Amino acid sequence: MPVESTADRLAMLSDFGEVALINGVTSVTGIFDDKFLMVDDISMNIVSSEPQFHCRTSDLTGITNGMTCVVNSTNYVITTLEDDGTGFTVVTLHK
Amino acid sequence: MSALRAEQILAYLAGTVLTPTVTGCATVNRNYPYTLADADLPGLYINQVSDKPIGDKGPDNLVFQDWTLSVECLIGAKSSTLPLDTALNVIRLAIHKAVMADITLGGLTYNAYPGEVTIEGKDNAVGEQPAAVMKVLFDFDYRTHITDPSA
Repeated sequence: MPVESTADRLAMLSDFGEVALINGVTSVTGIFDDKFLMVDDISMNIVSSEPQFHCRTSDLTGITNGMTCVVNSTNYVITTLEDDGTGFTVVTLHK
Repeated sequence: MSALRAEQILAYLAGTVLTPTVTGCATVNRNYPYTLADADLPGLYINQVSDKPIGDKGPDNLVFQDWTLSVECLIGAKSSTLPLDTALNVIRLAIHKAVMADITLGGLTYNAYPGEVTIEGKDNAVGEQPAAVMKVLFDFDYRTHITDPSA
């Protein structure tokens, strides 16, 4: 069971995060991460990355896969919404 | 000293037939030991698979030896705008047309055969863009002197 409130989560995200614009209308505060990824399960090693946006689950009402997500002026498409069950969701993105 | 005929064929494919201009690939390499970054994609590797003598029990004559060289063309690409198989098939088409336009490869071979085409990772959704590799096989028949497989 989560111990922090939604206000606590927002405070943390506001301190460390940034604002994403989802589907052109919904502004969500969260933490953007884009770590290095090597795609190496195929016959070539291809450099990639894993763009993800961590935010409050409560801010994602009505948000679904396939919607656009603009973070740091870069356009992405939402591919996965991964609710971690503690009030946060990891939004996986594609360029 | 001339290189082995198989090497000559592979070098001719990489350097003359399947150039970036012809294939639409950003990079064309043989046995490239590095990773492919965005600027290298789509990328093409040209690798030797096997080189087999034709005939069950050695050469049919004492002057020449015929061989079949199998070559794989590995095409690597990332795309989230086109289905990956569609993006890869565009390059496959260019490769096929370029190879089969001259099945002698400038006199190095006497026949060429398109082989199996397979795709790895086309349903791979990880990463900022899905990535996949298409493997396009070709067989080339060629003849060398029995005493000198470079000639």
